[in-house]
Amino acid sequence: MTRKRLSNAIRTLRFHAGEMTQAELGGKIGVTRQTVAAIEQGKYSPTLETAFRIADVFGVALEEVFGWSEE
Amino acid sequence: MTFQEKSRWIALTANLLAWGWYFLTLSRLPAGLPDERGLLGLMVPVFIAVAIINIVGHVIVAVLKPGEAGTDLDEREKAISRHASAIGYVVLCIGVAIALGTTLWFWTAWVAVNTVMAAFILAECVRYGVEIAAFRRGYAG
Repeated sequence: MTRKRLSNAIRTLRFHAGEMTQAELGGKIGVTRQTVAAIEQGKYSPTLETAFRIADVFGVALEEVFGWSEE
Repeated sequence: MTFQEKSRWIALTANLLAWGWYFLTLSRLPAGLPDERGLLGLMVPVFIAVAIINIVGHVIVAVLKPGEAGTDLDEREKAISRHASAIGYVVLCIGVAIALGTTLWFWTAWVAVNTVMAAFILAECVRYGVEIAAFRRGYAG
């Protein structure tokens, strides 16, 4: 089986949202700036609820934020 | 550094300083082991010191960054906390088992109190240490 890891487009989405800061995004979804940084770097996989909240902040579908990438 | 990480640093420092002094003092007592009253006389200041260091530390952190103070753990911090608690629990169980064995061997209240206390403090310090390391790395596990 091919090993895959969860990737995300949060950095790009933040850029397109007027260079929204990690702290601003964290404030909108109820987590700390450090948690947003950890999610962005792929160090921490958010709960389903937080994942949906992130997508909601940027007004996009969940699969536009998170996806699989080959390791 | 989040408020939660600062809080763990304060708690770890308080425990290491206060209980470090306690066990160091016990090991250096020249005239044998203290009786129950003497032991209590050593322990009470340690509990007070831990409380004072924690209160003063958290007040300083709150004054320096009022917006962060009192914030609840977010989901990543909760995951880190659960992970650290699980490891701390294992340390506590091993420590209590050693304490029981030591107590059965020596059969004194003095040994029982101090070995259980040492196990508890060690487990707490390990828990704080694991939390801090995970906060630094960014994730639990």
